[in-house]
Amino acid sequence: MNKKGLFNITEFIIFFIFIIIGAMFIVLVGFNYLNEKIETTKLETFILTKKLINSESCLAYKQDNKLQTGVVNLDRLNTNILINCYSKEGLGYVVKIKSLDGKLLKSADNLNELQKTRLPICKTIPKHKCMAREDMILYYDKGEIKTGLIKIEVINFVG
Amino acid sequence: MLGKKGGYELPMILVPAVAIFTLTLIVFGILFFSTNLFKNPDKIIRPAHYGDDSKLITILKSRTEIQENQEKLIIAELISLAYTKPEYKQNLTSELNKLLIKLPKPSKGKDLAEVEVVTPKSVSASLQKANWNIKIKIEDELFLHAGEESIAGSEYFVQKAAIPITNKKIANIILYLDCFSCSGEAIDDIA
Repeated sequence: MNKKGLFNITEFIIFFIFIIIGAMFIVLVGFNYLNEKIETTKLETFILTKKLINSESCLAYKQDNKLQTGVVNLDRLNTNILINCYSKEGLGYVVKIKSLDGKLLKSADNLNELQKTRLPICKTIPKHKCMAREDMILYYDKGEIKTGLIKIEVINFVG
Repeated sequence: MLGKKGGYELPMILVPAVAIFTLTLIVFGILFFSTNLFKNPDKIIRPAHYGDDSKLITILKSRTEIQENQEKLIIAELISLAYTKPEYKQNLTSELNKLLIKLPKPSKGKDLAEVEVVTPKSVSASLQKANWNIKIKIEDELFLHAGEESIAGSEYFVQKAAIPITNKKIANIILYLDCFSCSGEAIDDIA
């Protein structure tokens, strides 16, 4: 191999290193993008709240076959209704209805035994996200529609 | 590429060009992977944007203590009544203020300390100054303003509704959270 040939090989090696660095960068960016965790617990809590207070299969009040969206029927707040309304593997929640002065009127949950024990100490449990959301709602109780608050506490396995 | 002597050569200009490109990649790579400088914080829609007008609708449908024909009026009816009978305006203001005080503010829940979002103390403190406000405009004129508004505060979580009132007029109602020195990102984090 002559001098010129050697020079060409060295040049090619340098060029090849640059190509490897470029390719590695593209692979790393792609890998980083594909493995990025997207935080959806907040959005899921919002959707859950909306479903609870607006859906016929959840807590929405029905008067003379007319669905009153945004009005919660206190009589419908129980675990069975919540299970049929919104269930997702790894996600559990507690629903509390309070009067405007903060007095707890009724509560129910869709939590398994493990989630019940984990919810109060959620911050210390790895791979779990917890979220609380409070909204002003109307609720139907004893023949009257009143203004109150709904509080939803969610525990979500994000493994 | 064939050289002058028939052997394979790289054009000399290509080597520094690729070297500069590679160096740029390395610098960008360090910034990209070690810091979050180039990452978009909004991987999904921001909480302040996916809200709806439900808070305002709940307020408008809330029953008040004011009675007309032995029936308790809802806020929407009281707005209409207060427009035609100004003596009810004070009642409307006090009823709205009662509800606005009780309307939950977007803040880190004290009783659920396990909420993952870390809120800087300065942000928490500034949120204490956040207040819900309602403005009622009839024919582009401000008819009523309820709530506490700060000087130079910004409006967040704006919700709007239009309701028909007497004399074929429309009342435009705007609900918003007034907050001074709250940054958009910070308030989104705890929405």
